Amino acid sequence: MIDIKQQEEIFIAIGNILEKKIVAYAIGGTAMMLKSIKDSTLDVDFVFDKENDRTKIILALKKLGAKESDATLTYGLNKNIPLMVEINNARFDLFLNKIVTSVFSEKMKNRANEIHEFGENLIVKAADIHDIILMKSSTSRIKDIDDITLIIEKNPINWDIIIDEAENQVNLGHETAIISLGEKLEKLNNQKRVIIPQEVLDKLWNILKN
Amino acid sequence: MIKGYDKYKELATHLEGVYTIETLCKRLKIDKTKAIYVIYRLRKLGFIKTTYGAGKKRIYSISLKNKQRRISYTEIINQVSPIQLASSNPHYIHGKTPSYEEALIYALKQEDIRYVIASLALFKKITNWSSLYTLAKKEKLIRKIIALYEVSKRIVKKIKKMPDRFINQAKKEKSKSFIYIIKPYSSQDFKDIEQKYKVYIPLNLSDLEDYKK
Repeated sequence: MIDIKQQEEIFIAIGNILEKKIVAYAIGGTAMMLKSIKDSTLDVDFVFDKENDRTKIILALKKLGAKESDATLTYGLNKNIPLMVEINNARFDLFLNKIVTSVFSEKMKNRANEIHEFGENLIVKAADIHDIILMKSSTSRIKDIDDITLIIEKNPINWDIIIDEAENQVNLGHETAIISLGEKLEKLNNQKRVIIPQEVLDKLWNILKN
Repeated sequence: MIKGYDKYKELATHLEGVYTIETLCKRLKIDKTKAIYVIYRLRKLGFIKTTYGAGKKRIYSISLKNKQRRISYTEIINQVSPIQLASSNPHYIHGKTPSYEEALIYALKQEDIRYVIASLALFKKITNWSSLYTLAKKEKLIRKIIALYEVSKRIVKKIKKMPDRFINQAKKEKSKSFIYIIKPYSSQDFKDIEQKYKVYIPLNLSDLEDYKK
């Protein structure tokens, strides 16, 4: 578990070790913390464009005392699993463009327009809330359902963005994106935890039928 | 009374916003002594930032965001500008405060009329002209900055003198064609500055009314 202050301190330390500016995209709980939607998370999730950037972050983390750990213990033998390092009880999951069953698409990168600069050279772009919902809907962890609820409660949601990106994910080869999203949203709606407009649920099922 | 971190965090989330002691009393339906205690606890947990309004009145900003040592360029600009900006895609700096010189470059790069208006006020805070020159050169903004500096000198009080180095550099580039600060806007009121530096200025005097207040 890492809290908002510890996360900030580690990021600043990484930024001060890096010799050149590196851009990482924050997803999941890390993005939610940067957006002040929650104040602690189990792991730090970064997505990189370039393998070289990921390597440099790992080297910086190692200089701070981090140790590599086996991602298959957490993610199994799935494709697109991250490289994992641990430092002071904080786990860093470092993905390269793809996140297990999702693709961090160009549209997602463009929507990640909240920028955070740490130290001299670490630039973190926080994923958009709509994309966080979509990515969290593709897992089966209870905490991800709680996070989706929290995001919907705290932010105005443009459902068209979510539906459009779900379609985009299907086109990029992540065929189950719409099913997972529809299923999670329907569940939340049935449990009355959040109100999802019926037309959104209908749209998702219609896309699936077609 | 709410005790413990989680409950104060919940309270900070619930209260998110800006308060005076009186408005906080009203919101929580508590007396002044209890409100001061709530502020004391929230501040201790890092949820409060205090600023001062008219008559040195304390204004409390309550937010989970305050737990981080961060400031956005927009917040820096708002500290000196007569118009207050709100950014839908904020750029935060963690662990250090960006300089006014960096904020000025950021403002121009936004290519947004409100940022250009606000940027005029930043000139009165510029002290490190050498740093501004280096940043402007890197971003190819020298001519735009000197043109806006000329506008700022006419509108904003207490503007410091720009070193000759800047002016000479802009003159060197003078022969080049006209450039826009924000395409396709030009000025009716600052035509002489536009001609002098071959930079279209996206402002008229009527846009700068806030500087007269």
